Amino acid sequence: MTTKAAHVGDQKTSSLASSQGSEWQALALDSLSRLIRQFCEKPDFELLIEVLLMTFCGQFSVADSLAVLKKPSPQPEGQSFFATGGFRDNVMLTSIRMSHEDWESFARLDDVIDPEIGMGAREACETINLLAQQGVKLICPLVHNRAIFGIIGLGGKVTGKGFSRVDIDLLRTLVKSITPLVASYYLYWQIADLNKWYLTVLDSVGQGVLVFDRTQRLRKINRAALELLETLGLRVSNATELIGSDIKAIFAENVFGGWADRIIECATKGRESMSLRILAKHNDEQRVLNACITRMPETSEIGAACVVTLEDITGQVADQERLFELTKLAEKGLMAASIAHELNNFVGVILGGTELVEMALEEGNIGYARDRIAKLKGNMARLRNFTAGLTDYAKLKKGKQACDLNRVVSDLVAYVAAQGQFRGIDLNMDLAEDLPDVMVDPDAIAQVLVNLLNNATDAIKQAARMNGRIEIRTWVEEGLLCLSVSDNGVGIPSDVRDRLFIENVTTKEHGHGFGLVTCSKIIADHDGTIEVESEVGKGSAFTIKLPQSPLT
Amino acid sequence: MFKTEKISETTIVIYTSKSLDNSNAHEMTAALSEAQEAGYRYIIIDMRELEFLSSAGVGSILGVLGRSREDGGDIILCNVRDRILHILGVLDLCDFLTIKQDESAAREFCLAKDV
Repeated sequence: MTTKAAHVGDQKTSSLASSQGSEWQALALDSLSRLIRQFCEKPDFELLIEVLLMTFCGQFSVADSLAVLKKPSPQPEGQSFFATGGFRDNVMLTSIRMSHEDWESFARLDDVIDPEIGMGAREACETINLLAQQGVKLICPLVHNRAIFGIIGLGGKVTGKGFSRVDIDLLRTLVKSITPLVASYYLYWQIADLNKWYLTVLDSVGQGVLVFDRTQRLRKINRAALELLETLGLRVSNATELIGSDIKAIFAENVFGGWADRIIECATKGRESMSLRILAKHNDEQRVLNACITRMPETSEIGAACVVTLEDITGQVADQERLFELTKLAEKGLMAASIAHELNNFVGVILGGTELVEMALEEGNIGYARDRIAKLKGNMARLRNFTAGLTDYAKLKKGKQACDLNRVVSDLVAYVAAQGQFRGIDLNMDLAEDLPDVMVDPDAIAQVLVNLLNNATDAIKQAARMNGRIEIRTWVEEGLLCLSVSDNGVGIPSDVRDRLFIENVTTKEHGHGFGLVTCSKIIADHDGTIEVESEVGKGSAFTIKLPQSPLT
Repeated sequence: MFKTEKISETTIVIYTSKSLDNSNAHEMTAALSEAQEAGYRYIIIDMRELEFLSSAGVGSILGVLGRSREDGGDIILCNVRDRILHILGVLDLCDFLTIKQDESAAREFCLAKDV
């Protein structure tokens, strides 16, 4: 395609000397000054461009004009198109999308160009061709601070005459006069647009979001937060009323108790992000809220000190409680089945041994009978150990108490190691010698361990390992008591790993997925954390970290 | 908003206020477009009140004039003051636009064309 375009800047005249030129200039400048005044009173950017284009139409006796504006670089979309007259409905023009190369081409053209006169190949671009084909007769780049941010295009004169030197001079003058205003308010329009976009996104978020400044005053609140606070008795007609309110007024003492102080503490010191489960009471109804407090960096220039997100999890907590109770029942059922299985094994062995003794006595083989009786004694001793372990386990008191975590671990391991499912698996303990006592519910911690050990065994079996290995470690790290259970089983895929503690997910063929949710719940009740590291095909390691709460 | 008066099924008069400039040029464009949409092929713009016409005001008429002419109609200016005529002359539009002395001349023009 042959490109026809050329600069006409070389046709500059030093002044608009003719009386006709002066009239034109006076009319245009008068029109523009009115436009600026009107725009200052009512800053409507789209109207500004529309009237500006009409001004060009009237000034140059053309019916059609257009403006294509380049959006600031961070914007995802490239440009905005405005037009009046026939250009407004011209499908080809309204669909133009100028490429980076096109803008570069226009940037090199720092003056009015006539696309039909002819232009060097270096400056040629498809957009100029398209504009020329659709009737654009003059193009003037909008250049501000040496950067191009748009173009103005004019159609042909309605009189059928061509553009004169005076026309081109005037177009250049008008565009240069208006460019700073257009550039400034275009940016303002973009920012307002972006602000509107962010506010829409913020209001679409299901969680409540509150932004506080360094004086703990509310700077921003989204719709979900407002609705949540309204359910807790806050009475406001709109969010604006709350802006500037102190954090203690937002998290009022009569509803949130002393949680405002805790939130302030999290917002001013400690870790950058903290999650809290806070309680709020309104009309004798208690709500449970999940709050995440994120402290903004000191260097942040947005004037925000912290962002608090709120989520009402009252329903979820009630569901979890129900699930927890169901799981405990399920675990008890599984344990009973396991005990019955083990007892059955012992009884079977003893019955078989008794029959052998009986046969030996009938045959008069006293030596063999004695030998069988000795073995029966051994089996019965193992049975006694097994039942003693059960008794010890049952004796564990409910409720938190000062405990030796190592003892809880070793007692439980001694008990479970006797069970058939752990046969053939190397069960190792590496327990720290100087582990301090910790306030825990040993029954609950034992339940967590049973779950983790069962999972480890299943994972090893799924991997069909001959050298199955489970390692249980305890240690102290950064003031936290740590307990890990690691295995060399099948491992957990990453998509499952992320949801293990929050949903009923399982990788087992007949698993119900309650186990780890229960573990997570128990550890959370101890103000601790449970994490998992895993690699598919190599194994998994679950690590529990418990705070050293005062032994009271 | 500009006052309008229906003359016939095909002709309507739009009366301008004292000025037609940046503040109301887009309203004039809207009024003209609305009349075109409603099927009026002939639109008379009565400028008897008009004291100031800016280039934006001229542009508001030029931008929609083409559509009326494409539909076989026209936009006719009447009761145009000398000062306004001078502006249109400077813009080289006196021969391009249809300008009539007064409202009756404009109506006669439309009736004759609409036969």
